[in-house]
Amino acid sequence: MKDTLRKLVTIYGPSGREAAVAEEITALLRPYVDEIHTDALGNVIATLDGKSTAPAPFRVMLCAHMDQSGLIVTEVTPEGLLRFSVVGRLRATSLPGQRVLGLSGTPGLVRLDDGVEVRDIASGKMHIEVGASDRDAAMAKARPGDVFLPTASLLDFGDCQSSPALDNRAGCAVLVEVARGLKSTASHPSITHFVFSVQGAVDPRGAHPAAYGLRPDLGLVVDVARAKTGGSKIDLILGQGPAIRIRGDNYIAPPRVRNLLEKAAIEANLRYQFEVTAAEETASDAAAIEIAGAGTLTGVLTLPARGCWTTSATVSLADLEATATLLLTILKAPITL
Amino acid sequence: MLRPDTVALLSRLSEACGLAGDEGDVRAVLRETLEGQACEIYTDTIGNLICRKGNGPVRVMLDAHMDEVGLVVAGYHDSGLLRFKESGGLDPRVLPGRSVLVGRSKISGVIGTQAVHLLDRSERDKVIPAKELFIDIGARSRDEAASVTTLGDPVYFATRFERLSDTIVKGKAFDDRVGCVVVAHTLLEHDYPDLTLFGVFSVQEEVGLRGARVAAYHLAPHLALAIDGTSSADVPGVDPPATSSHLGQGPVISLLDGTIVMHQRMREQLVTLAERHGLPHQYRRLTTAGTDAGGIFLQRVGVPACTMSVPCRYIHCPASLASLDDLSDTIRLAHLFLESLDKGEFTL
Amino acid sequence: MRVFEELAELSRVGSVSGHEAGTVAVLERRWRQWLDETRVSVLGNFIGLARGLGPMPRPTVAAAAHMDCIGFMVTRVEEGGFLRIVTVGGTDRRLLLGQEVDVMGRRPLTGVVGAKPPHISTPEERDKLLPLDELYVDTGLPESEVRELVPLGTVVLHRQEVTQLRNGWIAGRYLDDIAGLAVLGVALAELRESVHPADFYAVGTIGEEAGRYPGATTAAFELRPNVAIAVDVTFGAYPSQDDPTGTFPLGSGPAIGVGPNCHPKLVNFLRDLAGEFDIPTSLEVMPGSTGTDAWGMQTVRGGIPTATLCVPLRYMHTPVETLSLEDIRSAGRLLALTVSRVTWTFVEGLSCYDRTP
Repeated sequence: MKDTLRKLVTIYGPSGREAAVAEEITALLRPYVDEIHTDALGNVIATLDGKSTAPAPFRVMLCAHMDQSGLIVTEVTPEGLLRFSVVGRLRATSLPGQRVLGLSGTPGLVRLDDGVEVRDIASGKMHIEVGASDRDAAMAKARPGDVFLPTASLLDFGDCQSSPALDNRAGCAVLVEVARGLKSTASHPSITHFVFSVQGAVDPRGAHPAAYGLRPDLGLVVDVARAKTGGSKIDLILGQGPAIRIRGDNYIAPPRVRNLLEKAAIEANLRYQFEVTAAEETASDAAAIEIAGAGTLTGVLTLPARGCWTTSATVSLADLEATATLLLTILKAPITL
Repeated sequence: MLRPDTVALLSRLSEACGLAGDEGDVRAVLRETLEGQACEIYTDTIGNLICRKGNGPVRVMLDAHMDEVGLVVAGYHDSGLLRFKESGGLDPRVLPGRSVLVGRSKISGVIGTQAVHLLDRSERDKVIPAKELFIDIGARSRDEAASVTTLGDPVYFATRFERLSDTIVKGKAFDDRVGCVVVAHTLLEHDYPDLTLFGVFSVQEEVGLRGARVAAYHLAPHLALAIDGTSSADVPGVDPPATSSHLGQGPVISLLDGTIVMHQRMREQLVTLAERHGLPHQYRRLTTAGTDAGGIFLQRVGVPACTMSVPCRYIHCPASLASLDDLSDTIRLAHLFLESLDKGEFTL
Repeated sequence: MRVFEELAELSRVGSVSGHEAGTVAVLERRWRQWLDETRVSVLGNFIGLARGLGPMPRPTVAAAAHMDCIGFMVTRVEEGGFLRIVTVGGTDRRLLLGQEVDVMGRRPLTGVVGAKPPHISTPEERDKLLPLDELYVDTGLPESEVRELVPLGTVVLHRQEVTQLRNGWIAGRYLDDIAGLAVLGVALAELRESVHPADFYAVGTIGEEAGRYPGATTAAFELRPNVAIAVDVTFGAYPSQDDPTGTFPLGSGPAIGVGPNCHPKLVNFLRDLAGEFDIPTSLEVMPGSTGTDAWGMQTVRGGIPTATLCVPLRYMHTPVETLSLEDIRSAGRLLALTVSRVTWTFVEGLSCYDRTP
């Protein structure tokens, strides 16, 4: 899991430009699946056939968005600084002082404009320094439309790992490990689709056409969620296992799906938690999958992340592995909803 | 340079009236313009006007929306004044002191407000809330008003299209009649043998990208290019990037907005073509709001989509300004893009 | 009387978004007598079919009312057994303090919504509305028992019985959109007595209060109706809320929506029928989203002609929502008449879009 995560976090893949991540995921996944392709929007869709002889086997769609939040350059100032907007959920307060990298490895540094008060911190009052003294020099390094990403290599604490790209390379890593685990199992009756969706860091988007095409019987989304970080009123705790989301933005877990997830966690003797939140940023691909075509029952497992959506997001490898185990437990047996 | 009949078309479209859900006037002008021009023309269930040209293997949707922002008659006051609601994202500050046209028969009306002489000092500086405004058509009673208008009647700004100079024009609804001109012009002027070109004049964009969603579903194109009118705030007191785009600097290519991150390769192809042919072009600095591309790209199994716009000052206000050079350059760039698809130079 | 009983029974069930199975069971039982087929969709929509006469293919009309209501879910059990809650849908938190609630745990419990008592709040605090995270639900039970009986995510509802007021008016919880379901019930009963060429789907949708119309959208996708009508509630007029452009007197009949979400030919059809059969109606001008299932159904697949029919309701999203039974009956009659008059000719006319002058 750590290796997979390490590989995935440093790949350049902001919303709408996921090609490089798609390529790496495809390479990682190919040995474990029967078919893998990229669709018209760039979603990676892989399928591992089930070992059931039933005429219409049960079909599960696992989903994790593979794009990450980034800073898109909107303007190059006469002094050679870059103005930007945040695409995705990165908190503006975690940006000042952050080192960033552009597509071709162009280095940059995020800085607050002069004289900005703490209470006024916003992405519109910051700029990226690329070491240029005027507009022309800056344009040689970066142009409007370029996306810079906070440097994302893993900070390894042992079990805990930190990186700005954990939303949602952590979810992607879990899916890759599930594929690895499933392939080596004798029994997995259901057909399992692995979808790595595009533009999910912003809104539930790419997952919709993917679900429309697959029309699965069950959708299971893996994403990150806010864990208690220094005194907030959040109840998710880092290291206490995956959270079964009962309620999120635009999402309420169907009771049958919630029971399926909980049963599997208990059966596999895993620590798990529940997440009940109304916060706006908790939109996950589930809202898109649920509503595609004639509808799909969908569940959400979230990985507790301290400092979620900041450049210091931190997850626990044990939580990631437990999530993978939970999913494998479900997939190794026939599923009844 | 734009041909006179293209400017004439913009004039007709600008003065035509079409609110979200009530685009009939605009639809009629476009239908008349395109009839008999080697296109198959029809409307779909939600009111989109679809012009299909050609039978080639690559299905392309070229889209512009017919609806504009405005008001609708929502009720009556006993005195004969009309109550209204806003349709689309109108700036309420532009309402007082306006001339309007009400309903199909285009009855003249005005939106007045109290004489400034009678206001308190403190009231003179406040924005007048829309709830305190009415439309006056000169009716003296509720019954009279209700006899010549209907609830739901559209209300438009009585803005005449005018040419302010060789290149600058003024009119209402440039968002997105300029786009309609680009699409219509493309259908009239060009053939692309290897494309099936769907010119889609969509409905209800201003209230949620509704028509384009539906059209993309039933047309199932391979890709889509939406042409819109976008905000230019290159005016005093506004610094970049809030200016978003500039009049006279060419078609505005969107990077992303609140509904879609534009398809990277489509976007890059537009820029490549513009550079190769020496066409001015610019990026849209704003990353908010939405265009039809956002409604199109998630249909069925996904449709690569991108938006290109004509810069306009004061969109969503009664009188917008645009540059005919920008319009002409946008028309040209749209054609170059379709041509590169047709020739197989650009594939997805 | 039957309408009142139906409203009362559905109100007692109280299905918060995501937990609509209880309402499905009631509809199954109550409407079975008028339906040829019933089933539940993947996401939990109730779908009842009253078949039309004549050979296939028959035109189809769907009418959708949402089964879900707003409410709360338990997000935490605190020391002392106090429950913290989070909203589901647009609940009105101005009226939470001191309310009695039903806590639908492993067995139903009664609770009271509490906060720091007024005599120990500062004067400034007393004037402000308390944020939801400073409120809690007190069941009076010891913490261990609460932890045993109230799992995370337990649904919490306002405690309220349906009350009969004067003039055939009713007050109760969740009449948004139980009123709509009752309208479907009235229509089904009437249709059973009449001949209708079209197939009629009475649909109870899930999840309307909590987001992007998952119920309506998937139902419309599955059923592909030629016409889809959303039956919901609209704002009933009373002195502090009497804007004539958006509020309607109780007893004035259902409001027919006008605007981009309402196909003009369908609107005229409804209005003409109402006129022909002397059914009181109003027009509700909505220049954007109607805020009903119609918004979710209209853009499904290649587009569906939609309309809205809304019953005036005072005090929306409070436990004492109030309406007139007569409005429900009028709406039900109008819906039945509309369904019975839908023919292929009418449907074909809808696909050519233009407003009649």
